[in-house]
Amino acid sequence: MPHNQENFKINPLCQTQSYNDELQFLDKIGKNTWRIKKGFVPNMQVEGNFYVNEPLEKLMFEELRNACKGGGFGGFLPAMKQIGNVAALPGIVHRSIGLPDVHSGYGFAIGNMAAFDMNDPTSVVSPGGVGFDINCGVRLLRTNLDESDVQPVKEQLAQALFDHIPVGVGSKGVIPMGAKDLEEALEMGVDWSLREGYAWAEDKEHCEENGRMLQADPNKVSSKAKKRGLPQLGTLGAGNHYCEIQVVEEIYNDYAAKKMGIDHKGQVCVMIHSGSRGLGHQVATDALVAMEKAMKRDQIVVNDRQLACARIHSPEGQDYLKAMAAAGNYAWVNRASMTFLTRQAFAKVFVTTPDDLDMHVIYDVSHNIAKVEEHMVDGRQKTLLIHRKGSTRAFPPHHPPHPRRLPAHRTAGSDWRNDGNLQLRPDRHREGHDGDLRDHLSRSRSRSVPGEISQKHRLPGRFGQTRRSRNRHQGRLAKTRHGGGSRIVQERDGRREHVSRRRNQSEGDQTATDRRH
Amino acid sequence: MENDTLVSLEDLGYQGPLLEDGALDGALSGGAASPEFTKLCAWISTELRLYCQLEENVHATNCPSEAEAFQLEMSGLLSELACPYPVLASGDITQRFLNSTDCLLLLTFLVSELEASRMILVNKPEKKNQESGSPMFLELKGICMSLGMSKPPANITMFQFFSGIEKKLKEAMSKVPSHHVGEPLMKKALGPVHVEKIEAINQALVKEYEMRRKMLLKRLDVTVQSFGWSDRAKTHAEKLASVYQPLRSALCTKSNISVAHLLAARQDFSKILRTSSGKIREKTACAINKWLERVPNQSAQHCPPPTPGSSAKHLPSI
Repeated sequence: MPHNQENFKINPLCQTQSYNDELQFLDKIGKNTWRIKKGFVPNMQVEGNFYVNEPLEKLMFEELRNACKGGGFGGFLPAMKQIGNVAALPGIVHRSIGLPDVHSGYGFAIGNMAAFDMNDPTSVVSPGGVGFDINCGVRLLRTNLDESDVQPVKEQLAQALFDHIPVGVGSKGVIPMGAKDLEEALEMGVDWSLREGYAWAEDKEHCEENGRMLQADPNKVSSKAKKRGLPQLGTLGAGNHYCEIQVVEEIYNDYAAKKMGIDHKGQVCVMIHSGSRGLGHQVATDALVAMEKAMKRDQIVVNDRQLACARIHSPEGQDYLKAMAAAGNYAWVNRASMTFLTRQAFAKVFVTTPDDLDMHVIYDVSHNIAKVEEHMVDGRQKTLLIHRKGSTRAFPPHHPPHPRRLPAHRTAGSDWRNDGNLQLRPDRHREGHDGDLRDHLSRSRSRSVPGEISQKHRLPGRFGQTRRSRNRHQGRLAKTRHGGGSRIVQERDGRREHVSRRRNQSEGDQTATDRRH
Repeated sequence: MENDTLVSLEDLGYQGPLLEDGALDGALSGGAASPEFTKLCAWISTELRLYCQLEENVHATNCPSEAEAFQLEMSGLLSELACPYPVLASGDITQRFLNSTDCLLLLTFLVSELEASRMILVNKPEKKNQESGSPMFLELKGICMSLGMSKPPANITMFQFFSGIEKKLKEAMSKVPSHHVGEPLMKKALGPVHVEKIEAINQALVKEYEMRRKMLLKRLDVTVQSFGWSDRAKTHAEKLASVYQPLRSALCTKSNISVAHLLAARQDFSKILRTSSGKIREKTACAINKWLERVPNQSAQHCPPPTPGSSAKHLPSI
C-alpha cells in the first residue's frame, strides 16, 4: 500500500499522530478486508473491520490523510476514525464494522454497524448509530410488464409518478391524514395502511417486521416531530431518495428469484427508497439532546460528542428505542403509501388495475435501524442490540427470532369481557428489560378489539441484501438497470467490476460478515 | 345416460325446471353459456358443500356472457374434488363445458360425488360422544375399525396384533391402484439410536417453531386489534368478536408434530406449495384491490395493452 511519508504535524483531529503513525494500527487482512487495531483511537473495547474494493480503499485512506493534514469534512471525522470511536463505546461486542462505501456521518459512519450486549449493564444505545433518517429503507415492487411495454410510455409513466408522489424537501403528501391517523400509524405501522385500504395483505408478509415494530410508543414521539411528520406522509423526500422504474438485467439464481417474484430478464420493477422524513429526523434530534444531558449522570465517556448515547436500560435509552420504533412504523407507512400511489400511477397509464399488473412487494428492508436480535458470539448465543446505519440486514433462512420480543403472552379466551371486547391487562410476566417493553395499560384508552379479517401471515423471508449505496441499491438476486443515469458498480464474487463516477457500493461477501454478527 | 342423470337428480331432491322434458337437453347443449345449466351446477355445488369441506363454490350465471366466470369456478371445484376426467379438468379453461357430451359427463360426475357424500354420511355418521380410553387405545381402535378388523382377543401379543394389522393393510393396498398411497418419504430403516436422535431433533424443532407460532399469533392479534380501533369498526365490535374469537381459539401455539408424522409422510409431501402462489393469492383478493374498472381505451394516443405474465385470472365483475 504505497503512501507518502508525511511530516509530523499536530492537528486537533488526529491528535498528535502523524499519518504514518496511524497506519501502524491498520492491517490489510484480506483482499477486501482491513483491520483497525486497538489504539487507533483511545479506549477501543474491540477492534474494527472495514470492507472496501480498490477505489474505495484509495478514497478512505485519502480521507484519513487529509484529516491528518488538517482538512475537515464539514464537522465529521474520517470514516476510519469513526469506526474506531464506535469501537470505544461501552458494551460493544465483537467488532465495529464498516461495510462497503462506508463514509463519514454523524457520530457513526454511514455503513457502520455495531452490536451491544443486552445483558451488559454498561451497554449503550446511540441515535447516531441509527441515523437521522430512521428506517430509511428500500422497497421493491414487481410488475408483469416488460421493458417493451414501458419504453413507449415512459414519459407518461414518469409524469404520472410525479403527479402522484410529491418529491423534494418539505413536500406535502396527497394522502389525507389527521392527528389521530398519525397516532395510529405510529403505533400500528402498515396495519394502519392495511386498515385504511392503502396496502394489500400480502405486502406485510414481504416487509421487514411485517411493517410494524411492536415496541413502538407514539407517546415517546414529541409533538414537534409529529407536527413535521403529519403533512409529509406519502412523500419521497430529498437527497438520495428515489422512486425508480427498473428493468431486470440479469438473474443470478433462477429458483430463488422466481420464488420472490422475478421470473425473466426485461421484467419491469419499481424501487422506492425513502424513510421517515422530518419525523424521524426530529426523533433523533430530541433523543440526542436528552441523552447528552444524561451522559454525565450515568458517567458515560465517549471519544466524540456526536456519539451521544444512553445506557440501553435507562429511561432515555428505552424512550429512544420506543420512539425509534414509532418513527420506523411511520417510514413503513410512508413506503406503503408510496406503493399505493405508484400502483395508482401505473394503473392509470396502463388503463388496468394494479392487481392485474401483479404489482406485489418483493421485499421491504430497512437500513437505518436498531434491533434486538439473537446471534452467536464466540460460540455462545447472545442477545444483542444491533445498530445498523446505512447497513442492511441479511439473515439466512430460519434465523431464530428473538424470543423476548413478544409482550407477555395471554390466551385469547381469558381476555374477553362479557361484551365481547378485549380487556387489556398489564404484563405481569415481563422477563426483565429487553429494550422491547410494551406498556399496554398506559395506552389502552378503552380500545375494543377485534377484527374483521383473519389473515394468514408468514414470517418474512430474509433475503440476501447488500448495504445500500449512496445513490443506488442493488438486490443480490437480480441486477437491475435504469434508463439513463450513472452506471452502477456491480460486483459479483469479485468477478465483475466497473467503477462509477461517484463512490458507489460493491456487493459480494459483506453480507456474510453481517450475518456473523 | 340423460335419463339416468335425471333420475339421480330427482332422487337427490332436485326439483328445478330441468326435470321437464327436453329442458335438460337444451341446457346441456348451451353448457356454460346456459344460465339454466349453471343454475343446476350451482345447486349441486351447494349440496356438496353441506357434506364436504370445500373451499370452492360455483354460482349460477344470469346470461351467456358470464360463461367464463362459471368455467373458472367450476374448474376450481373440479380440481378440489380431484376430478379424474381430463376433458373436464385439463386444457384451456375457456373451452371447457361448452358441448353436450362434456356437460353430461360433468353432471354425471357431480351427481355421483353428491350421491357418494350422502352415502358416506349415512354409513359412517360422525360420532358425537367421546369415547373412553387412552389416546393410544383410541388410535388402535380407529385402525381396526377402518381396516374392518374384528376386535382382537384380550390375550393377543403386541407382535401378533401388529402382524394382523400389517396383513390387513396389505390386503387393503392390493385393492387400490399402485400409486394411490405412494412411496414413503422416509426410506431408511431406523434403529433405536436413530429414533432417539430424531426425537431430540424433533423436540428442538418443535420448540423453535412454537416460538415462531407465538410470534405469528401475536402479530395476528395486534393486526386484528388495530382494525378494531377504527371508528367504523366500533359499530361492528360485537359481530367481529363473534367471528374472530372462535377462529382464534382454534389456533394454538403448540405443535403436535411427532416422529410418527415423519414416518407416515408420503412422497407427495415433498411437493412444496408456494404460500403466495397465484391460486392462493386469489383468495386474498378483495374489493379493495380493484380500484379501477377496466376502461376501454378511448384516447387516440394508444397505450400498449399490458402483457399479463400469469395465466388464468379473475375477471373483475363490472
